[in-house]
Amino acid sequence: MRPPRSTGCQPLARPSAKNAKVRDGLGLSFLRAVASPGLCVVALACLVPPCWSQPRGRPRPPGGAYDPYRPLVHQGPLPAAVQQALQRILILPGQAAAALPRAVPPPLANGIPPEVLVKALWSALESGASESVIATAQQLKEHNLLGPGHAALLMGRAYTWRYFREKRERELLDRARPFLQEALGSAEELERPHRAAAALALSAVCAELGDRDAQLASARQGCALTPESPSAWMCLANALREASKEEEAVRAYAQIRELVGAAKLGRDETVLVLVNIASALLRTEHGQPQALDTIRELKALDEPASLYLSGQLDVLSGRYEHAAINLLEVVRRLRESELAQGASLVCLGEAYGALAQAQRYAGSPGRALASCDEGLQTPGKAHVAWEPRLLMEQAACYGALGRDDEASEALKRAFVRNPSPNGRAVFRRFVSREPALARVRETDEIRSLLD
Amino acid sequence: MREYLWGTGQPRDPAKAAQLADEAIEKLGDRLPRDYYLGFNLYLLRVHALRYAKDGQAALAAARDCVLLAPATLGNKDFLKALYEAARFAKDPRTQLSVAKLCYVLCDFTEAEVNQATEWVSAALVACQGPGATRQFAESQGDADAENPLATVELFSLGEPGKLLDAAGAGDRNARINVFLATGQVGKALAEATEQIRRSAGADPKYLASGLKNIARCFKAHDLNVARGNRFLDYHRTGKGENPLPALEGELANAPTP
Repeated sequence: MRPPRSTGCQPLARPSAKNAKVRDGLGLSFLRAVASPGLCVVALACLVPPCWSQPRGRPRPPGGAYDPYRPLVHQGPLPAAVQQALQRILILPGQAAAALPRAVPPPLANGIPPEVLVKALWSALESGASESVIATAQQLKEHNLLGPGHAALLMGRAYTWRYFREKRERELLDRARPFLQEALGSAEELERPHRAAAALALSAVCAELGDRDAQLASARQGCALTPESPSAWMCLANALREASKEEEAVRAYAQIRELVGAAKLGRDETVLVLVNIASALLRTEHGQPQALDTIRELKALDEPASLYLSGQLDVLSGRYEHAAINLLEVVRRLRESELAQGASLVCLGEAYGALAQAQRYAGSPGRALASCDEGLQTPGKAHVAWEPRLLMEQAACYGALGRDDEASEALKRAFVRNPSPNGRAVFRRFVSREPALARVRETDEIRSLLD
Repeated sequence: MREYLWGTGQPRDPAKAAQLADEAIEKLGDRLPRDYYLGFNLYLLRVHALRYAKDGQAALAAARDCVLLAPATLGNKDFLKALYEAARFAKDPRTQLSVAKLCYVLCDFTEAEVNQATEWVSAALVACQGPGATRQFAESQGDADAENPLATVELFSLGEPGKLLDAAGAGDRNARINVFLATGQVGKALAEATEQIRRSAGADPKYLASGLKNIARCFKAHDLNVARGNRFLDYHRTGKGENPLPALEGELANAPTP
């Protein structure tokens, strides 16, 4: 029997031949065939990244081996992965959450102070127990153990959470919306940050429902409630961009940069904000120079997300082959980090989608199709979010290869996976504009999906 | 198979999904790769399909097959979820509690996974022993001296320890640690994990990180709370306080062998 491959508690690595090709990058075997050894050395020297961008050597303590009985922090510098592993875990709010499983007997909850209850429920929501949070909040509200504002906020956030993380059903949005509106209006019971949280969640819900006016109005409310919060400004900037108020949006993004600079955020938070800003600016007509500045900042932080954004910028600028090279590297790095650690700023599926698009535009629909297939086979935390995009890209690849029946099938699947009004609008925009789908969109079956 | 199982693109038919899984497993036999994308995933889908198509016991039997194919899966949160869901469908509160304890013991030392396992244990305790036990368990998470109702619960058996260890292979330390933890041999798991740390110099930092997490998991498996695991991590992160590792080694050396 072959020994299984594993990485302990983390998801297991995929050792396929196709993947090995991705891991090895583009390969330099062509140099052997066409160039002299001297030329190879020169060419390789040009390809080697400068020394300051190379990762530091692997850690090795002075004694040659780590000693688990002495503090590691005294045994040499600790790499980021180790520092992350050394973070203690907090389940204190979960302590109360543990006492509040799916069915909460009210007498049990009686002895617990309301603020602990709310914390416990937030903790349970963050750990994915949205169903039990909804049931529990409802029960606690009925027994007057939780105020209506807190209950509405929890239930609204829980339904929103379920929509974005578990299943994209319109019903969940319709349920979340009135709860969030109620929470936003509970000025007497809820403090400013709680109401702002309701406003931001409401904005996200309205965006999914395609109600741009309501999306913008609630984003403005959220920003007015917490003007010091970069995430509130981000929500507003995105809403402005989607409402085609680009100049105002670019100003809002600039405001976020100022806030981030003033707040002196940690590296991870700074990177997250910069990635969001750059990603959003790339989608505006006037924001690309600012996006480029932001990408440069990310590159200075040696952040892989900068490569993803560079790839996106290359696609927008028509440099498709260059984009494909960048995005291939992003996929390679994400495979290592996501499959090993389950965490990344850029989603692997999203990167596969961008890679496939770049490869298709660069004139390699076959390769693009392979990227889509690989992306679709990759499970991930945000699978529901990026699967439709990959299916649409897959359809375009089939269309470019003349395999119209398969393109049609892929489109039908993408349509089913895009049930929200916003998702459907994205679907229609993609299908009606994509040249590779010109024949397919004329068929009755697909035309009926576009109506 | 996924489409039949979850009803995406096809009408939902878990029995058909289970049948397809069985056919694939039978046709591939020993050629079935023992990696995430093929072998493990195929078995995982089979566990889910059988839960719906037959019952929890059939799904638990499929989970045992899966572990024997690749013991490394014992550290995977998707597998633990499938295992717990199978136990829930078995409609036997004692099995549910025994599996919930196994999930708590095996889960990674991260907030998300421990919180998830804690919720499973709480739900299983309510089902098996009532809300009082759940509250007692909650108290024992904050106060290590409080009585923990999980302590007297037996770990769910996934197979013979020897066979599982053979399947893990000699070279896969993580898989061996998983097997030792799953079979209640925390002392052996701890020995492997400390050796993992010693040998991680010059290797990928993830190897050292994995060793630290594995030791924290040993604390969690032995104490059934995260207090000393946290202290162990704090000690290495800050250099302050006392290292609880020698104490755990002493306790395990004197513990009866399961």
